[in-house]
Amino acid sequence: MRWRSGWSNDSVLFNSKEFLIFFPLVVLLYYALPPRRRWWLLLPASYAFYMSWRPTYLALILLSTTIVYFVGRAMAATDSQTRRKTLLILSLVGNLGLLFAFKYFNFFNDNLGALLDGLGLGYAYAGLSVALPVGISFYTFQALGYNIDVYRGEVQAEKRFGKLALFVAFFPQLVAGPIERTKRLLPQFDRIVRFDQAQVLDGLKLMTWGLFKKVVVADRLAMFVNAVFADPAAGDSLQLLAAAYFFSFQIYCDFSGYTDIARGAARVLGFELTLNFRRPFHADSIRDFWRRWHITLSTWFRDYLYIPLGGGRVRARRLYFNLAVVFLLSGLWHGAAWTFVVWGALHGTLLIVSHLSSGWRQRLVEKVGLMRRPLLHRWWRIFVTFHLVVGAFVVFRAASLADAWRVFAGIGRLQLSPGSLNAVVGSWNFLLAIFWVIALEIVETLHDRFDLRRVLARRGVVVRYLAYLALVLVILLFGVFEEVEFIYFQF
Amino acid sequence: MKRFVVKFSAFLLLLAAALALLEINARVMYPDPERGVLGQKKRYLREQRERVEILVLGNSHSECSIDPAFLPRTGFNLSMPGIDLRTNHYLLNYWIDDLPRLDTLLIELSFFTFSFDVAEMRPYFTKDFLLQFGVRPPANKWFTLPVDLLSYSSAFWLKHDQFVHDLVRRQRITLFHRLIGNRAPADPDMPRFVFQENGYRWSARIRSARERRKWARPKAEETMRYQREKKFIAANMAHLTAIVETARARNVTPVLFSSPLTEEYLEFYDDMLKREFYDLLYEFLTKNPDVRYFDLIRAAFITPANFRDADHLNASGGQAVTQYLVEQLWR
Repeated sequence: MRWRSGWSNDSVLFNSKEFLIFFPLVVLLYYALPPRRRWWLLLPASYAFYMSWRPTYLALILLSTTIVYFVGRAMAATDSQTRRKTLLILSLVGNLGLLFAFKYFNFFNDNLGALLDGLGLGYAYAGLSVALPVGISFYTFQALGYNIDVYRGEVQAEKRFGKLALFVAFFPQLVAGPIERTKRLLPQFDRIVRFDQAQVLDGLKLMTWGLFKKVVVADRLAMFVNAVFADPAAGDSLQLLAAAYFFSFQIYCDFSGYTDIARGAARVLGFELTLNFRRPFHADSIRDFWRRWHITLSTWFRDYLYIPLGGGRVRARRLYFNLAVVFLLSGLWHGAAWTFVVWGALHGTLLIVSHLSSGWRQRLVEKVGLMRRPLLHRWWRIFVTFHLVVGAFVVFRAASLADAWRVFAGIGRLQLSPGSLNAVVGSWNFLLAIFWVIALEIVETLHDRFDLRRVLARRGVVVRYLAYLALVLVILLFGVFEEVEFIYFQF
Repeated sequence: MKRFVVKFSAFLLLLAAALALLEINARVMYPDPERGVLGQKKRYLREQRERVEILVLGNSHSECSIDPAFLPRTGFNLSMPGIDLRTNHYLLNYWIDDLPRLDTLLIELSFFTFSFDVAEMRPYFTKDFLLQFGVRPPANKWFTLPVDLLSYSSAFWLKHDQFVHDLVRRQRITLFHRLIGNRAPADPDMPRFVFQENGYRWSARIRSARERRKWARPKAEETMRYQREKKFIAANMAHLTAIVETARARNVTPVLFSSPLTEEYLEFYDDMLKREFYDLLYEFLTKNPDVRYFDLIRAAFITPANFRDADHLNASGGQAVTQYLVEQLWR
């Protein structure tokens, strides 16, 4: 089953007991080392972190690192543009080939088989029996980004293999991002990291907040969502509708929670990772949504695919083609299944439709008088965008396109039965899930306006300690500690 | 660095104090054998262990459908809500050496039994068993042993997700008792269940046809979900086989049965899933021809007045089912 990849029990998840031991140990050893030698520890620690899942798959990271290292060095050693281009193609083929073999081969093989069988042609190639390597899409894109930057002359090729290996495998962001850029992360490994109390505390607070999002909100929502999506045909309209909303918040809290823990862990070690989310459900257009959701992936596609294709400064038809390519690939990046492809296609289509309809929408807004009420207009845009995103997430979450259709059809049937919401996970879990989603939205909105961390920092020690204690106790009391894997690990 | 260590240690101390406070409260609430469903059953069975000859294992269906008061010999109903075959297997192994006179083992099978896994579907229940029966799952890795030991020995860690829920409920119940002038200590589980000393869950309630119908659908849907996931069939088959073999090895007769269900519940239950259950059961019985099975799901002697809700019998239904089985097995 796609949503239970089965490796979670063996890997060091951020929400596992193993990480509770692993991380403090790494931090202690890290700061015990002389400042110039501290980064030495991070590479073996990162590899140990990855090997806790499946040791042999470390070979893939090493292979990817070796390819980008030697390609980078070879690019630096030549002035010939043709040769540099050939080297870049070599790196793209090598890295994307690995990604294809381990993530997409079976998908393409199955579909080719179905197609040829449908045409009456015999097809008997068996699929590969390999597990999907955790985080392969993330580290492959990060490694490829390095080679493209070297090719463009935006960064120097890294001379030390160890530092480049650490850039590819840095454990806080190894398995689910943020997908870092060479210019931003690699130079940080050259800095001499000294113990900075404020930075370490800030990192710990961010980790705690991320853990709250994951175990208190996302995993509680997952109880309901998993039960309903396991069999959408059995759900009534209310259950399916609630599951659709819940999944949108679940995936946001799961992924942004992971990112917060990753950024916090990196900050404790003295490194700064890129912000990956900016309250995406407050986006007032699909375009705005992609400026707020998985920012490091969308900017990766923008800089390395959309702009080279011509970006937005092209004729309308070409622009729509560019958008379609980018979003189809973005969907496929998430997983080898039609649901992800359709999810990407839906977002691409929404952007194209939004572009095509901007004129008459503007006239409509003027006609109904929304222009005179900018706040109402903005809330209306947020409302519509949110529901389009929720609808697309149904396709993303469903086990198949048929299941996604069942969810939409089930919602449309308007069939309600009393107590049906409570029947899925019990009234306590259901109410808790709603309560924490509302609490999270309130806190994030307030934080956006007032920077709650700064507000808290200005308070006395008693207030601060009580606030932190309350957050930790909420995690301990209301968290779901079943070591549920992070959704984005599977990508 | 020193300042950081002092600050961080102060926070950890504060956290430890808060956790200790919660632990004290959790210990009062859960592991006390006088309180809680499992603790109470455990105490009652221990008190009668020398006499018990018939043991009932199963979920809430059998907890309501076998009243040991009507058995010809001393019996104990060890069925518990939300239990799975794996836990039943464990419970049998836990108790069998302590029940020297055990002669018959009654095991209830519901439609979803072969697909149900308590750890997956209802983790709280697994934790209850950890707490009450001391089941210690092996530590995942040697370096997590300190955390594992802490969590296995702490009521709070085992029950943290249910703790606030029950704490809130206990306060509400206490308040209610005070309002009506009752000074009896409030137990979070007691108002829901009335147990007899033989483990039987007693209820006189009869829901109207309208109410049975109202709750039948969500209840059937909930249980059908387990069956549709189809993840634990092989494991549960293995546990049922092991239960039967354990019983045979001790000269205990295993008897399987399925409790009655209302027409309303059966109407909502998918026919394919019912058939799947019977196919699995047939496969099991073919391999174990000496094991008797009583299908009472549509028992003719049960009327709507025998049900307390869509899928549980009340006291009159419990009596009727027990007397029927007694008739078939011992007379």
